[in-house]
Amino acid sequence: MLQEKLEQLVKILEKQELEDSLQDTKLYHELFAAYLYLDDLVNARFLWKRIPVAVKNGNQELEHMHKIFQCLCKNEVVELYKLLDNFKWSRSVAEIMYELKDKIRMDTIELIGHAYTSIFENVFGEMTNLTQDMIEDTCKRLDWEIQDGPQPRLILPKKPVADRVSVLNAEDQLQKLTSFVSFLEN
Amino acid sequence: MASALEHYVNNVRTMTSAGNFRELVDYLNDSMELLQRNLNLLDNVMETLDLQHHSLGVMYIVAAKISEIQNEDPEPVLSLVKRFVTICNGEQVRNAPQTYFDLFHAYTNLLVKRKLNTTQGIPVLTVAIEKIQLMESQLTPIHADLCQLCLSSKVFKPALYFLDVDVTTIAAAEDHQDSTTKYFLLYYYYGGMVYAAVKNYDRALYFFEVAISTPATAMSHIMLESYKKYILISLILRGKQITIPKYSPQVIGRFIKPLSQHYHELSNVYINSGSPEAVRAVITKYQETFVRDNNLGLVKQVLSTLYKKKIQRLTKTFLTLSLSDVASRASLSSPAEAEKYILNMIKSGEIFAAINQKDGMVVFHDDPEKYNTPHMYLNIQEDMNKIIELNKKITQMEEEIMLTPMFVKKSTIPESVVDDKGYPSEACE
Repeated sequence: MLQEKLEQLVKILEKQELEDSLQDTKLYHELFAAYLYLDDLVNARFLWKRIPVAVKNGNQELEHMHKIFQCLCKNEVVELYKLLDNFKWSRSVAEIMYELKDKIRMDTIELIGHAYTSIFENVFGEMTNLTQDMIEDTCKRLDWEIQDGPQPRLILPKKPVADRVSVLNAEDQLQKLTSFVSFLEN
Repeated sequence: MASALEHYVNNVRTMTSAGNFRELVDYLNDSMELLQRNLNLLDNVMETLDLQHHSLGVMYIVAAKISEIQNEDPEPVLSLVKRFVTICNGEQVRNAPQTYFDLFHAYTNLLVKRKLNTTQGIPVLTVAIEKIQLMESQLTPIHADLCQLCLSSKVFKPALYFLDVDVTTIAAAEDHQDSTTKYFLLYYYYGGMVYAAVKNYDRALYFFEVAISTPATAMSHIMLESYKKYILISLILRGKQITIPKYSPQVIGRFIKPLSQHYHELSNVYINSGSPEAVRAVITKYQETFVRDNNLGLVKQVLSTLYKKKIQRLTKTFLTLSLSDVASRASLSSPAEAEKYILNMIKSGEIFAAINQKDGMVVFHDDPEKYNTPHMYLNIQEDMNKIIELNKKITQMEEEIMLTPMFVKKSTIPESVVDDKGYPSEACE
């Protein structure tokens, strides 16, 4: 939902930026936040570069966002949670920033599922910014085993099963195949 | 003098209403000097013409104004161009394409040279291209200008909108082949840079390849710079130096390669020694060249891919490896750093592996893609459709060539059996 909304927002803001040469700084804030949420780091990088120096100087919120951008580039999630929490965001971007944190957590959990066959509880906690109880809840929900043993305990993640949606119908497929064959034959 | 301009207005009016555009263009080309000599009166002349109806007449006035602009405030001219491009009649200005192109080249130059806000030019050029294009896949010389403005203002979306369309025809004014070639090369050079900036290295490599494989008998600076970037991108993307296409002109081997020595040395060290220290040493040694060529950013990325390439190579040899082994083999400082690299590479899909924190091991997998999902089928379908379209296009172009009288004359009938009228002599039958 938010994803689509932001994609729309980005389109509108990009257009606005092109049309008016004198920009309201609010536009930069919103656009930067939207790029961050959409994980569009390339565009975020160049947006940062093209924001006029006069706007950037002393603008704490933009500078803070830029730090977040740098963390996203390097994939430093631990630092990222701190940055997201320790700042009072202005109204126009607060919601996006709040959602960004959730999104990063979800993405990280999915990545851990893919990349680890075993991971220590404390590392998992740092990477997802979850407390002990929340870790247990999450693991239960995902059906990941937590091995009993000395602290820190070991978590055994499982690969998430990709849900496959069938996007084809038989007639359509048949028609396409026919056209391919006729192309190859002729 | 004023009467000459009155004459100009009258001519534009009568020929436009009669629809004699060819004649009008000839007249306008001859009047260019007149317009440039009377810059101060042009505003009055313009008031007597209608932008939409007399687009050609107005275009020459705008072109005269912009070509003669010195140090005065550029704002009136800039807004005039903007107004012109939104209102002008595309059908009409297509009769004088070269003036149209020159107008926007001058406009771009003005923005860039005076270091004005280049962002404002992007929508103007976008409209300018759309007005003159006959179809979406037609390349115009203005494309290069748009890419240039996008690069200088660091806004890439508008350029990508055009770059993503594969070119099938080129809009060119007759008699101006030189300028067309220049903007063709510039388009592929700037386009490659745009793609490199947004990290679409595949496309970037392709664009630079087009630039360096364009037939040429003399060396162009654009080709030289494209070649340097081509070397760097191929290192970033493939980790090796890709041999340039066989059909590239000979000038590449003869002149361009010797002029890119430093880049060759970098790529040799990168490929042969593979040690970050050695690569770094080369970069420091030739830093000045790289900075002067504005390639330092790409060079640094070449260095950073070195670690990744090393880890990727490990996946081909080993099934499991401890993190400390990965660190030492990929010249990384610690197992923790190795873990971070591997995690990032798994995230971006560059390798397939699983880390086991308990034993500090990493298990490398093969690509899990089995090519048996509906999703993959759709991808293949799309690709096949593209190929079918391409095939159609090629057949069509081949037919066009085969029907050209020049081709028929030169290739199908040997010269000896063609009599002086150009028809085959009876001996041939």
